[in-house]
Amino acid sequence: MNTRVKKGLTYLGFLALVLGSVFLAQGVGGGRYQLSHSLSLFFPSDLSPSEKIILFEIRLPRIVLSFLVGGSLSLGGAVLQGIFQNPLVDPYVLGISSGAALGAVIAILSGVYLGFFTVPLFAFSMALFSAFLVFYLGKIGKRFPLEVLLLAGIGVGFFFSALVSLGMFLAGEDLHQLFFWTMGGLWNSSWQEVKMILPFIVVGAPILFSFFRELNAFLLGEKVAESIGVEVEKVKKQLLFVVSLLVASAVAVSGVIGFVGLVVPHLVRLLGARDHRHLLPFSFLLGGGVLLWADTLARTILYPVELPVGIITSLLGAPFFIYLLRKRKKSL
Amino acid sequence: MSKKSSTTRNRIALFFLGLWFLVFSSFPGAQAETISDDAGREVEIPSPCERIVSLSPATTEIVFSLSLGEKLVGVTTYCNYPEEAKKKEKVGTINEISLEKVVELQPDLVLASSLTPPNVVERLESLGITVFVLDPHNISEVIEGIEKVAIISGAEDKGKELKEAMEEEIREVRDKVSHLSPEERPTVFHLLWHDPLWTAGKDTFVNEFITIAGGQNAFADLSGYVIVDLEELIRRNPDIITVVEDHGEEGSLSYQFLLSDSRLKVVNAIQNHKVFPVDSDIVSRSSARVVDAIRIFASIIHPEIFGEYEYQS
Repeated sequence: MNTRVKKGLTYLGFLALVLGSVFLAQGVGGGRYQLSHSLSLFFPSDLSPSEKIILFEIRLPRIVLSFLVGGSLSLGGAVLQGIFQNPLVDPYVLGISSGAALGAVIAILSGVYLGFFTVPLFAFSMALFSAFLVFYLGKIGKRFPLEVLLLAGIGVGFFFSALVSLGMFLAGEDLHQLFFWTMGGLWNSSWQEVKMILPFIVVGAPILFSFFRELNAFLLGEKVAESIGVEVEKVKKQLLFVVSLLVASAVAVSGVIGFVGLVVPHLVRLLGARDHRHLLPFSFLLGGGVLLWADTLARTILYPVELPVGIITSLLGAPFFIYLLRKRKKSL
Repeated sequence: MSKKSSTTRNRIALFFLGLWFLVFSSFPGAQAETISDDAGREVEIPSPCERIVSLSPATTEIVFSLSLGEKLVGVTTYCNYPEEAKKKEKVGTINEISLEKVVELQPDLVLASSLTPPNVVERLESLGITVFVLDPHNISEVIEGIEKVAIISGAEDKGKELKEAMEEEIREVRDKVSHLSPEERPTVFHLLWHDPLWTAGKDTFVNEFITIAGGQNAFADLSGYVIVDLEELIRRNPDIITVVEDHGEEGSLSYQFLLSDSRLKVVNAIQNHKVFPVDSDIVSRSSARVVDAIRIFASIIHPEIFGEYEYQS
């Protein structure tokens, strides 16, 4: 078979998997699967008002949001691993997670209420602030040396984490609220969160996809990339900027969800897509699918008790990842 | 040294040891009275008991309710009730306690809670300070604990009096709702935090308050404090929602969430404006104020019997 046709079919297959997942997940709720709930996606008419709200105002936005968040984190992870040429890099390497956590801590402890978006807004602003602080600190002359950026990210991350710990210590009896946020979860997702994050994805993802040539060149090292005509510093700056916005928006609506952004790009590589032209879109699709199912599990396993989705992603994902790694370590 | 002489010496030593035991164990003053605490420890009743340090807000409230406030020499920074408690010396927070400060205050008795780190209890004990741990799991254990604190701190009569008053008040509420059929007992969802929805299942004080006050906990099938799904809240459709307000401030984020999230409009409690803030200090502390908590829930659940609820902190 023609490789182009094969690639095209793979994309279609993935897309079908994603849509199938949405269909199935829509039927999961109340601790069981109901086909009628899945079918409600096509026949939404004869539902009671509360069923309508459960299926279309709570469950569906949550499914969509989990997909978008998972996709953003994985895409962000794939791009950053490409830039840094480092397999251990995750989307939080620029201090975004601790920045966002600090924002949430400030919002919750200060008790400021500007509407439902108060906490996400604070988290988003602080996440961006920490990313820009990392750029500023990581800049030497007009260049952004990778090691300096990485270390600046670690430094800023630790500092903000310390402030988060201080906030938690001072929170006393309010500790649980901060604790829940830092665990990450898609608990009360609504269309409003989807609306918040969607512009960043609609604009950011295509931009990131379009940088596949440059990222492929980065695989050979910055020097080689430069020698074949890539404006390394400029590209880095643009990519980091877009990734920061994308990841910050994801973290703002979901808290810190680990594992997905680190591991999904590796899974995609292990599945054979090393070219960034395919690695990036597949990371987005697979990351979205993984978080979608992780979150479906999170709200089902202990029904009616909810688990934080971050626990599921790490608990199930890490062993699977290690298994794949052991099985195919030669190809890495 | 011959083997024989060493045995003789051992025998002499044993003899004196035996004599020592005989003398001291028969000495009347040495047989101190003990009382068992909630950590399963046998605690000697200190005599005299003039200086008390309290390591949790609940035990502080208990000390004051036994009219022993004057003997209280140290409390935690969380101890905000009654008003006088705020003026006492601070020895730390609930779980971060300055041992130095406690020792410096030379207490005869330290009252600890289940949240007091066990190593703090051990350290204080090894320094010869009497520590009594309270860890009640239901209202009758709260009352029992108050009684024990009264005994250990030499306020036995006051303790009996308080116990009877508390039991009488609880009985009164129970009697007033005893005729209600299950259908007349509204379901109550108790919200501790909204993101995620955090509520109290069975085996919690709140569950007991709701039950005694003639209501049904919407999540009585779960145990302890749990995170639940927003979907499930709508499915269970509670008649009443109580929401915890931290430190007496009204209008917390959780309260705002309940009133502003349009998806909750299908819930009975929201439709009928049955959302009530309750003071977290009153409903979460295992002190004599559990009776106040029961009264609060009683007015919220059955205003027709107990009168309209007014937010109090």
